[in-house]
Amino acid sequence: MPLLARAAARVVDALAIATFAGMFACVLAQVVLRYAFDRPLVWSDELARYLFVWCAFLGWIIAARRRSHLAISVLADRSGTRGRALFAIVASAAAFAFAVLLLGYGIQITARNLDIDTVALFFSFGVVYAIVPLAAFAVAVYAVVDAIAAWQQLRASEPP
Amino acid sequence: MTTLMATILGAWFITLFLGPTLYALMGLAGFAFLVLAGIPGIVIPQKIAMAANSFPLLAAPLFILMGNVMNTSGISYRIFDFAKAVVGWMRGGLCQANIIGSVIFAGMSGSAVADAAGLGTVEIAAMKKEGYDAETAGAITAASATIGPIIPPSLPMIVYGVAAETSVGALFIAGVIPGLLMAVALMIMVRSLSIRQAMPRHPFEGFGELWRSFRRAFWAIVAPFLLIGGMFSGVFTPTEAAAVAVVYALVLGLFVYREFTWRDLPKLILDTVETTGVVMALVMTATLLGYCLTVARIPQEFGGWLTALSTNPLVYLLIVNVLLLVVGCFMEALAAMLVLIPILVPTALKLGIDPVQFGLIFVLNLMIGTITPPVGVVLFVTAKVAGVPFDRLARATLPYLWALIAVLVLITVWPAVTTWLPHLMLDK
Repeated sequence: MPLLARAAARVVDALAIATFAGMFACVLAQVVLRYAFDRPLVWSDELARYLFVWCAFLGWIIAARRRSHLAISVLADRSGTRGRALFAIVASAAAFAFAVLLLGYGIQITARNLDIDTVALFFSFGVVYAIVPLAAFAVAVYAVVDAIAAWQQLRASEPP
Repeated sequence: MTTLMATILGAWFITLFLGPTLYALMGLAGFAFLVLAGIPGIVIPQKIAMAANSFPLLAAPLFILMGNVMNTSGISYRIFDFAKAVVGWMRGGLCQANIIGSVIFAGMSGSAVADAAGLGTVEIAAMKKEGYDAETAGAITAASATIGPIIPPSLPMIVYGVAAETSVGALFIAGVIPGLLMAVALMIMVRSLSIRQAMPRHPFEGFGELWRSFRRAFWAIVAPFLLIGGMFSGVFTPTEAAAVAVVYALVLGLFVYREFTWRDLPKLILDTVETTGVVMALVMTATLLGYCLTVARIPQEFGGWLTALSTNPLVYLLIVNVLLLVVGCFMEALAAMLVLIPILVPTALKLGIDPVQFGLIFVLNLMIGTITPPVGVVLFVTAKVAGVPFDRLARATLPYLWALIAVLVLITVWPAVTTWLPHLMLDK
């Protein structure tokens, strides 16, 4: 299981780097071709935007894994180990609930867009939306992992 | 429907303090409204994903990468050394250098947190070594970090521009004068504090040292001029300028300063994508929430209620300022911005307030919010860097807060401070 998680994380990382580099290359290509050769690309703008959608969701996954999503932790910071574990369980419950919603509706919207064409590119709009359920699934898994860790902490700190 | 949405917003605001991630709560609040209002939930992934489908917003990840590259390439040391040579001889010289350093850094970085965590680490270490106490060093670092998102490039302004449909280029340029004014206001405050607290001072290191440090920092100092020049001569859009700026920063780090190699790039990009994910999760879910607010007609209700009180633009701005300062204390800046833009901007436009001026007021308010307790991201990061308790740092930052609020008052009552430069450079 940890092996599978590590492998999945590496795939996400690789995809993240690839989409970011692709997005960056698109914008640069646009600059170079437009200003240096006066021949604007028709598809670079659109591809850059779709790669950004993917990149944003991949970053969302990475931030969930590294637990760097912003939260207001004033109350949690002021409580003890048990309180903190309780707050962590509430937090993972919220993250899980939203991820499940996004997973369900994400699959729906991907399916609906499978036969809708993008403007100047070869793939369908469903490809753009496909990252939504994928990211939602990953985030849901991390939420469960976090909840289990917090639960164990709560059990461990129980007064005898 | 308005009451329903207002109730949901209230519940959302309270649950925020239980500590779940902001994006999840915004998403759930949006979902709750959609279900109760009978709108199909498929709107959720649509609004969320399409919020990222924006070319202007693409500038955000590129500027984040540029900031990361700059921080890794040792530029912060060069900038601070130069700033020290320029103003280090004054009383409280390192505090002054801290401000000047932030101004230069602001021309390459669009985030106050990047300033506090990157340049701040260098500054606080140097100040402690010179005998400043950790609170003094942390306070001026946090306060001057807020200049970062006011002087272009600026992450919050990109997000503001996209959400409020205002030109990002015009917002960028409008930030130059207020950003410099913030520096002046902070320097005056340091001046008076340094005499009262008898802060240390340096002898002047001589023009030779000044020249040497200038040459060492040269490529970092000219970066903002290239960036701003390219954008405002109308050659590049902000997004294209961001891509060019990243290339500049990479060339600087890889070939000129040689502080990192190609092999460090994957980690730099990965960190950038992570930060992008944090920012975009907020932007995307807040867009959903903004859509719900519009459907619930909250903007109209709020606007009608306010304009019934007064139709004087100055009164409206005053109310907005107070509201944003209070909200800024309790909310993270980007999230607060995105939720409040659909509520506050339409009325501002109807009252004839300049959209660029309003944007600057909005962003400056929320940047001040990043250094006010109990929720202040910059204050939090700086407290960690300086190794002081959050509460003590918050108290030490208080005098500088007044300096920043003075600038806020100035840009509120005197529109020309923000509108003159964009008109001059963009209306040809």
